Amino acid sequence: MARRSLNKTKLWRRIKPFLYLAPALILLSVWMYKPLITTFYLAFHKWNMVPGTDKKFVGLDNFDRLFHNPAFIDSIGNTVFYTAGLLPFSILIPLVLAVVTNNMNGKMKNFYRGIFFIPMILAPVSVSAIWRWLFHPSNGVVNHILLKLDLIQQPVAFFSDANFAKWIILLITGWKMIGFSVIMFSAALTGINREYYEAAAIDGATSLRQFINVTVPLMSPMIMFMLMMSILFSSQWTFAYIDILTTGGPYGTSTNIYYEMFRYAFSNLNVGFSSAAALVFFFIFGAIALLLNAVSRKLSFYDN
Amino acid sequence: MKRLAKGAIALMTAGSLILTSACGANSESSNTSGNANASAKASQVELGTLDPANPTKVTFYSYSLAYPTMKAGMEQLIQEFNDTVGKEKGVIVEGVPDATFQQYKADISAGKEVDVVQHTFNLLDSSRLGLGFKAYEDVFPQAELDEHLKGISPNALELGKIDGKMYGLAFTFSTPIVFINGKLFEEAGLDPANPPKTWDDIKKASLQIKEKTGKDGFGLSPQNGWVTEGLILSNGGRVLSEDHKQAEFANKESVDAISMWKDLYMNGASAKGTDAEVSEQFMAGNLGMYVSSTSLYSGIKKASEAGGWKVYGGALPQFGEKESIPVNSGSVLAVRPDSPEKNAAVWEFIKFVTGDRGYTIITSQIGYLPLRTGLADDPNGLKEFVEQNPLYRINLEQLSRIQPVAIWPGESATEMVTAFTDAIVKSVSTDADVEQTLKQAQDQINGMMP
Amino acid sequence: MNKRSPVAAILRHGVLALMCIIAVIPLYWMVNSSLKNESEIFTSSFFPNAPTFSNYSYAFSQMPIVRMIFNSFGISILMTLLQLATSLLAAYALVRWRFRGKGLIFSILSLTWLIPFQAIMIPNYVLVNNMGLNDSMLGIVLPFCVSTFAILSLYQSFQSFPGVLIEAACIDGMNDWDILVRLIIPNIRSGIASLGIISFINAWNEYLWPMLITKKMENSPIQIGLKLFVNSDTNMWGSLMSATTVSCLPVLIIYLLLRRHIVDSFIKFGIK
Repeated sequence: MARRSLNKTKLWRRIKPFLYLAPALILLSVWMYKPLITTFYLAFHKWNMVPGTDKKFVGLDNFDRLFHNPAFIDSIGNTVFYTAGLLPFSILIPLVLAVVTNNMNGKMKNFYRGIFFIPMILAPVSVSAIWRWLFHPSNGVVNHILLKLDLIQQPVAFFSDANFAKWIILLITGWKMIGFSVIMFSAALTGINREYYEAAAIDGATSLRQFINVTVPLMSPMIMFMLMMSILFSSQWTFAYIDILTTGGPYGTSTNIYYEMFRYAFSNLNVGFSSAAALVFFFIFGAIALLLNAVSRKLSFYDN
Repeated sequence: MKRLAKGAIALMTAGSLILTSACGANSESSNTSGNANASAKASQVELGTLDPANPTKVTFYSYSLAYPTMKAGMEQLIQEFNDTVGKEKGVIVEGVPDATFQQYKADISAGKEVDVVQHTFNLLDSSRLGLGFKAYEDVFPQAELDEHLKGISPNALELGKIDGKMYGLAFTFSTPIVFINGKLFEEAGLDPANPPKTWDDIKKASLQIKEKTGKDGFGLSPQNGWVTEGLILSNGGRVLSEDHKQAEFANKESVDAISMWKDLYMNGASAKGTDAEVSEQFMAGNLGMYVSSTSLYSGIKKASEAGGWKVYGGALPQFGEKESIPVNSGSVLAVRPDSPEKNAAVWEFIKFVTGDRGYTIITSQIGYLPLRTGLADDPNGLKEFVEQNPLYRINLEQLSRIQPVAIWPGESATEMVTAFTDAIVKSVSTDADVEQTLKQAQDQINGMMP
Repeated sequence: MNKRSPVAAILRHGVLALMCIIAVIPLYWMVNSSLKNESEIFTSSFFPNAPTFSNYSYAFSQMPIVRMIFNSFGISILMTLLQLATSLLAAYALVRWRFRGKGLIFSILSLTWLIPFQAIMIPNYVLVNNMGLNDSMLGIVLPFCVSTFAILSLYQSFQSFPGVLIEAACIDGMNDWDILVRLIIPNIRSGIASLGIISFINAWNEYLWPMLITKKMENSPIQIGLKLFVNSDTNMWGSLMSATTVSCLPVLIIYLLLRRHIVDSFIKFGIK
C-alpha cells in the first residue's frame, strides 16, 4: 500500500515538470518543428504548393540548382554584409553609449536611454515610410540638404542605386537596433560591482583602459548574448525593409537569403527550392550558434 | 470622333493581322484549330443553375482593389454587379485586395477557393501550368462566349491566349504614353501641344528643360518592366522568339534600343529612381516628361490641378523613322471555377465587368482603356469622357500598332521576368556593358525554358 | 573615480545629444510633413508655414485607421499574454525540478532560434487555413504564442530567486502552482513586465505573417493598411506621413508616459 503510493508520487513527480512544460512544447512542435520537418521533406521535392498536385522527388537537384544560381550566391554575400554590418549598431555603439550614460546621474541617464529606445518601438512599415520619404530622390529632405551643401551635384536615387541601396537598408536596421542594445547593455552594467572600477582607478587606469580591461570582460556574457542575437536575427530584421523599400533591387543587390527564400516560395512558387535554401541556412546558422556557444562558455569561466 | 473611328478600324485590321501572323508562327496550335478543339469540348460544358435565394459566392482577387487610385472604381464595379445582376441571378462577389500578386498564390496553395484573379499578362502561362487556371472554352459554353466577345477588339482577345485557348480575358488595359508637364515645357521654351516624336527629340527636349528650369526633363525607370518591351520592339528587336520558346532580347536591335536609353540615363537626360519615385517626381511637378500607363491619369490629373500645371500627352517615342510599337500593360481575368454553379456565377461576373457598363466604369473611374472600343463613340458610354480627356485619343490611336507584352513560357516565368528586369536595370543604370549583360541574362533565361 | 574635466563632459553630452537627434529626427520630419499643405509638402522647411490637419482627415477617410489600431493592440496584447503564460509555466518547470530530458528540452528550445520564419511559413499558412483561421486575429497570434527568448530569460531571472524560499514554502505545504503564482511571480514583477514589453514590441513589429494572414483592411493591423498606402502609386506624402504618425502615436504615447518604468524594469531585469 505504502509502496504503491510512493510509486504514485514518484510517477507524479516525474510527470509534473512536463505538465508545466506541455503548453510550450506542444505549441512549439505544432508551429515550429512539424513545419520544419515538412520543410526538410520538401527540400528534396519539386512542388508548387498547389493542393492536390504531386510532390515530385528530385533528390539533391534543388541543392545543385541552388548553388549554381547566381542570385542565390549574391544573396549569401549580402547576408554576410548585413550580418557583419549590423555588429557596430548592435554591439559597439550601444556598448559605448551604455557605458557613457552609466556614470551620469539618474535623470540624465534615463533621459538619454529613453530617447535612444524610441526607434525600437516603431513598427517596420512606419519606419520604412518615413525613411523612404527622407531619402526620396527628388522630394526627399536628405537630397535637398546634400544639394544645398554642394556635397552632390545630382540627387541620389538611394533605393535604386546599387552603391547605396543596401547601405540604406543597413542604416535603417541599425538605427532601430541601437536603442534595444543600449538598454540590454545598461542592464548588464548595473550588475557590475563599482569596486572593480575603483580598484582600476587607483591603479591609474584611464577611462579607455577601464573600458577595455574591466567593462568588456565583465560584460562578456551579455556581449556574447547580443552577438548571438545579432548574428542569428539580422537577416530577419532587415527583411521588412528589403520588402518594402527595395524588394531586393536594384538587380538583386540589396536582397538577403531570407528574402530570396520568401520569393522562391511565394513569388516563384518553387517550394522545394525555398526549402533547400532554408535547410542550408539552418545548418550554417546552427554551426555559428554552436561556435558562439563554445566561445561564450570559455568566456564565462574567465568571468569567475 | 473621326479619328477615333479610324483608330477603331485600324485596330480591327491590326488585330486580324496579329492573329494571322500568330497562326503562321504556330500553326499546330493556332487559333483556328484551338477554336475547333474548344468547340468540341464546349458541347460538354454546361452552366449550373443559380438560385437568387441562395446566392453563390465568388472570390475576386484584384490588385486594383489594393491601390488607392484605383480602389474606388474597382469597388464600384463589384458593388454594382452585386446590386444588380448578382442580386437578380444569385451571385455574390467578394473582392480581395492583392497588391503584390502573392495573396492569390498563397490562398490557392492553402486550398482556398480562388475563383477569379485579375492577372498580369506576363505570368499567365506559369499560372496556367501551375495553379489550375482554366481555359474559358473549357468552362463556359462556346455560344455564350462568342456572343459576349463580339465588340471587344480582336487583338485584345488574342493577348490572353496560349496555344489557341483563352486563359485570360483582357480586362484592364492600356498602352504607354508620354505624360508632359505643360508648365515646365513652356518655361523651357517648348510647345507641350507638339510633343517630341523621336527619342532624339526626347533627349533634346529633356536637356533643354534641365538647362532652363533646373529640373529633370524626362523619366522612365529601368525597373518599369513593360515599357521596356515597347522600346525593344520599336527598334525592331524582340523579347521572345516567335514560337515563344527562346529569349531573344540580346540581338543587335534590342541592344541598340537599350544603349540609347542608357545614353539618356547616363548623360543627365533622365531622372533617376524607382518607378514609383519617378512617378512621384512627375506628380510633384518636378519632371518634364514621364512615360507610363494611362491608368495613372486620374492621379496625375489631380496632382497637376493641385500643383497648378496642365498635363499634356504624347505617343510612345519612335526610333528615327520607324513607327513606335507600344505594348500593353494591365491585366486579364483568369478563372478557376470548380463546379457548374461556380461556372455560371463566374460567367455572370465576367459578362458584367467586361460588358458595356463594366468598361464604362473601368475607363471613367480607373483610367484604363475601353476594350469595347465602340464605347468611345457611344453617347451612353464614354463619348463625353473621351472628349473631356483627349489623352485617351493618343492611347486609342496607339492600339493600332500595339503588340502583346511577352508571356514568359513555363513554370519559371517569375524567375525569367526577374532576370530580364535585372539585366535591363543593370544595363541602363550602371557601367556594365549592355550587350554582355543582356546576353548573360538571355542565356540564363534560356536555361530555364521548359 | 578619475576627475572629470568639463571639456570631456561637454564632448560627452555633445555626442549623446547628436545620437538623440539622430534617433528622433525622422520622427520629427514625419510629423512636420504631415502638417504641411500640398504646396509646401515638397519643400524642406523645418516648420510648416500654415499647419493643416487636412492630411489627417484624408488619411482617416481612406482607411479604417481606428479599427486597425485596435486590431494591432488586440493582436499584440493577446500575443504578449499567451507568451508570458506559456513561458512562466515552462521556466518554472525548468528551474524547480531536475528531471530526465532537461538537456534535450533546452536544445529543443534553443534550436528554434535557428529556424527562420520564412522556412516554416508555408506549412503554417496551410495549417491556419485548414483551421479556418485565415483573416482572423487568432490566426495571426497562434504561431507566436511561445517565445523561446521569453522562456530562457525568465529561466534566468527565476534562478536568481533564492531557492531557500521555495523550499520553505514547500515545507509550509504550498503546492507548486501556489509557489509560482503567489511567491515567485509577485517577486519578479519588474522582470515579467519588461519581458512583456519586449514581447509587445515584437508583436507590434511583426510584419510578414500578418501580411499573409489578413485579407480585409478591417481585420488587419495598422501596419498592413499602412503598407498599402506606402505602395500606392499616389504622391500624397502629406497624408501618408499623417497615417504613419497615427500608426506610431499610440505606442509612442504609452512609451513616453511609462518611459521611466519601462527603462527601469529593463535595468532591474538585468538579464545575465
